[in-house]
Amino acid sequence: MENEFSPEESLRIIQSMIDKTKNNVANDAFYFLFWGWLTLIICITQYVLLVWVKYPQHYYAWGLLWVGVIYLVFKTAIKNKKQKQKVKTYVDDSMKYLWTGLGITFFILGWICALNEWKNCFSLFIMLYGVGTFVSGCFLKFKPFIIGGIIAWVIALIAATANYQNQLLLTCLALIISYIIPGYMLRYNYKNQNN
Amino acid sequence: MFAELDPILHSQLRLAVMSLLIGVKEAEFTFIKEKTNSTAGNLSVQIQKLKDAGYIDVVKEFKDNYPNTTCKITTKGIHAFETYVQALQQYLKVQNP
Repeated sequence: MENEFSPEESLRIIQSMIDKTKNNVANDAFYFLFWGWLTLIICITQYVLLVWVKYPQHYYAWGLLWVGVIYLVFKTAIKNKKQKQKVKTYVDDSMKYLWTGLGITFFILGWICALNEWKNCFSLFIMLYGVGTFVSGCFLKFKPFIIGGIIAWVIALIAATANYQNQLLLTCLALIISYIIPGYMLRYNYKNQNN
Repeated sequence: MFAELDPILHSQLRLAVMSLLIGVKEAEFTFIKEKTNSTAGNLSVQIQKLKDAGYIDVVKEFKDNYPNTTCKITTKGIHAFETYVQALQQYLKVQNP
């Protein structure tokens, strides 16, 4: 008889099925680490060009961002072709909308700064990194991102009083604290849960 | 008196399907089959019963020339699931006061 099972058995089924639909955070960790490392490399390159090489077009380093965009577009296209997404979660959707919105905001802000001045642009970028990681942390219920986001906001406040080259270093610090460290922690947690 | 356990949900496979769908926006048939360790035939029958009860929406379409079935829980299904869980809690309270 298929209906002959206890309330405890019912709860066990419910719990085990809900556990199986927990968000695939390994994928989220990849994006945080990818963008974190890429932007960190760009900031360090720009700092070296500006302070040590004294190259006037030091901001050309940001061209590397397009390499990242192109790489991700190809990677996503190949992945979609190979393996269709079999399940859609609300967290996946929310993350997609949040980061699409933020991505567009980063580019608009970059454009506005390019037309005006770059004096305080990095404090605004750091503030937006904080928004992204704080909200993502809330969606994923992952504290290191929430804390990373709050620290990024504090760094944004400090960066507003710093000169351009120190803003670059503070951006590196914000990326390490709000993207890279929580990204590795998320990946480590995911691997531990699956072992 | 206890609330009656919904007979549509009080079945291992149907309850597993509903518990999967309660946490996601939508899921493909192959995903549900893989997570519930069920056979395609049995799963099809149980999904049809849930659909007939109005607990889930089933969309059948073709993707790259292959049939693709997607399931999504309805508002009625969410309500039924919540009522079922509340009834379970009542039973468990009595067993473990």
